[in-house]
Amino acid sequence: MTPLWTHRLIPSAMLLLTWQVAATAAQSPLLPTPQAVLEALVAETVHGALLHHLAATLLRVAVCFCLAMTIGGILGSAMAASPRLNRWLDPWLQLLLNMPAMVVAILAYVWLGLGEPAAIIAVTLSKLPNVMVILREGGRQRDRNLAQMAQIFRFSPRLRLVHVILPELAPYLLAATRSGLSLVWKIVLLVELLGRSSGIGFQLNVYFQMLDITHILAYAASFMVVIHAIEISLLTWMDRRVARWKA
Amino acid sequence: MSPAGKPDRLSVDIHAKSWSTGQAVLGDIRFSLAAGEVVALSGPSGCGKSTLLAIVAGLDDDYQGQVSWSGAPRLGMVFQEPRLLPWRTATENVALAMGGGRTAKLRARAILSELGLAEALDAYPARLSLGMARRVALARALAADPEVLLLDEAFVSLDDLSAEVMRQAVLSAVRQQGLSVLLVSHDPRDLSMAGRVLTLGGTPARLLQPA
Repeated sequence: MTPLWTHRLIPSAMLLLTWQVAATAAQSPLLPTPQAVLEALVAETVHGALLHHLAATLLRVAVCFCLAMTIGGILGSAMAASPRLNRWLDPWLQLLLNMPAMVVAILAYVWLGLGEPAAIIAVTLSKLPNVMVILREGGRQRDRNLAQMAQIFRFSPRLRLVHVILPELAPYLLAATRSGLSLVWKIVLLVELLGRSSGIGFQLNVYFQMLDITHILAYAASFMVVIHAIEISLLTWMDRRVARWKA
Repeated sequence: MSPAGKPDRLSVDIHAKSWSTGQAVLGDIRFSLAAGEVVALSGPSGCGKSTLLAIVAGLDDDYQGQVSWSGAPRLGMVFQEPRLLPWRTATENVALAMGGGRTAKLRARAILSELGLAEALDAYPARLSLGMARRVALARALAADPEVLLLDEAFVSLDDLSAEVMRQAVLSAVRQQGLSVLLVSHDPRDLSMAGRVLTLGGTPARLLQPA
C-alpha cells in the first residue's frame, strides 16, 4: 500500500461511509446523504451560481491575504528592527490580537458602511496582527553576521532584500502563509455572511434562512476543496523552495 | 607615511574601547597601513584583535578615537566564520560581492576554480567542508576587487595545503594589485606573510611594539 492510499484515501472513505450510514438511518432533510450533496454541487456548478460566488470569495481571500502579508510583514520587520517602534505599536498589536474577528467586521460595517472596502479592511485587520507577530519574531532571529557581511561587501538595498533578508525570513513567511490562508478564508466567509451580497458566505446565509442543509454542505465542500488544493500546491512549493539548500 | 615609506591607506588612532558592561578591552592603539603592505595583528586569545578589526571594518563604531581612510577604499573581509549565505551556491555567494548578474557569476566561477573549488561551484554551503567554505569566503573577498583586505583568523582549522593555497592567493593579489592586507592570526606561517607584525597585549590591550 502507498502512503497516499493509507493516510488520505482510507480515512476519507471511512468518513463518507459513516456519513452515508448516518444519513440513511436518519432519513432527515437536516442530514442529507453524500450523494445528494454531490448532486447539488454538480447542479450548482453547471446551472447555478456557484462559480460566480466562489470567484467572488477567492478574490476577497487573495486581496486580503496579500494586503495582510505585505503590511504585516513590513510592520513586523520594522518592529523587530526598532525597539522604539515596537514600544509604540505593541499596544495596538495586543488590542488587535485579542479582538474577535466578528467585532472587527461589525465595527467596519458600522463605521464604513456595508461595502467592499469595509469587508476587505475587516478581514485584513483580523489577519494583520498574526503576520506582524510572526514576522517580528523572524526579524529578531535574523543573523547579525550576515548583515555585517552585506555591509562589508556593499550590497545594494535590492541585493540585501532579495538575497539576505527575504531568505532569512522565509520560514517565518511560510508559517504566516500557512496560518494565514486558513484564517483569512474563514473570516472572509464571516464578513460575507454579515454584509455582502456575493460570495460563499453570502450563499451559506441564504440557504441557512431556508434551512437547506444540502446546499449549505455543497457550497462549503466546494470552497474547502478549492482552498485545500491551493494550500497543498502553494505550501508544498514554498516548502521545497525554503528547504532546497539544506544538507 | 608608513614605516615602508608609502602613503597610508589607513590610519588607526584608538584611545579606548569598552564593552557595554564597562569593561575596557582596548587602550591606546596607533598604527597605519600603506598601499601594498601586509600588516599582522597578533596577541593572546581574547585580547581584542577581532574587536580591533571590526572597528577598522566599520562594523563597530562604539569606541573613542579615529579610524581614517585615504579616500573610500573598497574593502574585502574574511571573517572567522565563513559567513556565506546558506541559501546561495558557492558561485552565487562570490558573484553577489560583485553585484550579482551573469558576468559576475562567470568571474566568480573563474576565481573559485583558481582556488581549487571547480568541483564545488554549484554546491550550497551546507555541503562544503570548513576548508572549502573558507576558500569560498576568500574568493568572495578577492572578487570584490578590494584595495584593503581584512583577514580575521582566516586560515585557522585548515589543512596545510588549503591554508597555503589561500596564503598564496592573498600574496599574489598583494603583488599584482597593490592590495593592502591587515590580518589577525597566531600562526607563525600567517605572520610570515606580513611586513610588520603588531603585537597586542595587556588589559586593556595596547600595542606592545611601536607601530
